[in-house]
Amino acid sequence: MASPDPSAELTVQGQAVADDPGAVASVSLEQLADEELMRRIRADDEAAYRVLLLRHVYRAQRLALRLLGDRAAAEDAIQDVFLQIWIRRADWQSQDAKFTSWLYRVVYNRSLDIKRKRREAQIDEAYDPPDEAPDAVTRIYRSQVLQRLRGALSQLPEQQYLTLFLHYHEGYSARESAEALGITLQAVESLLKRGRRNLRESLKKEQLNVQQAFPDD
Amino acid sequence: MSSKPFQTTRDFADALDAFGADLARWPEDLRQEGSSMLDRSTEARKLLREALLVHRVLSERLTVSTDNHLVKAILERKASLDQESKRLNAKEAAKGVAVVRSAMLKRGIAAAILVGGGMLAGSLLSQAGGGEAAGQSTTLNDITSYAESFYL
Repeated sequence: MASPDPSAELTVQGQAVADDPGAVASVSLEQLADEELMRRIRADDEAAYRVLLLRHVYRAQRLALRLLGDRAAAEDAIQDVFLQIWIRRADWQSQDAKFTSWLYRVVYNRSLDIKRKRREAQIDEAYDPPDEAPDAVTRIYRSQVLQRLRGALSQLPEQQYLTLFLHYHEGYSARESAEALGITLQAVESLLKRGRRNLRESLKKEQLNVQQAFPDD
Repeated sequence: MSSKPFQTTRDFADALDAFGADLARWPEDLRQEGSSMLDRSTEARKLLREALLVHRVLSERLTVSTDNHLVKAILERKASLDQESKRLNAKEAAKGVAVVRSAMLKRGIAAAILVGGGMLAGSLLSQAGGGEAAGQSTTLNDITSYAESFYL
């Protein structure tokens, strides 16, 4: 079952593998739905696992990074999640959920779990994108307002968070989000609306700072 | 969200939540209503400012490295786990064989004792049969005494 050289397996991405009979199988695997890949993974199919990994790892990583604000912690979370997929492959029940919906929920919960532990350990998050504010005072107000919004974002209910993430960060349409999360289009629209409202209302206590931070907006 | 004209800023806020801060993405009739509301209401402009902030935070781009080092790390850990799992399975299997061998050995000894005991008992009974002809008792005590005589 183990691959002697994992890096060599990365050729499964599809390039320059015409002479490799194993790659032919991998290319066809790439056309399979996630749920079919999981069925194969349950039967210890390592090639299917690699295809699933490459298909989802970076989006999952962006989701974890968004929640954790720390690249190393996000990578740890994603390693854990994808290893658990392999370790617990026998437990996968395809009828329970769409794979992406299940994956995003697991990443979300794993990331929050890490975040809670980090808070307990009093570790500051290193998440502060560059600010184009004109002066230091404005930057401070701006930082406070944006931090409050980011905090409110990470406090949103799971489904609201995931829907907003897919829509804004990954550029999914409402229909694509519905497909990925295994919910209806109406549910996505409702989740987007409630998520935006919750975030907007989180700014109520920051009215003065909002004025100070974004005087020209 | 209906496309009726906005009566209050609450209607405007409702549209902001439903369609986002970018009025260009609103349905045409609502967009015109929204623009009109923004022209006449300070409260509507405040709501739009908040919605733009929400949009700004939601749209923050966090890029991740796609140089495959994460994939490689996951596959390496998986390979390591698989090898460990194989090693443990082999160890468990070897342990199982040892347990079976040990049990078989113990059972073999027990069987040998039983067979030996049976043979001894048979021999004693046969000798006791000869004594009976001579009018001796064939009770277990007699057999035991006879056996003990070999050790005295």
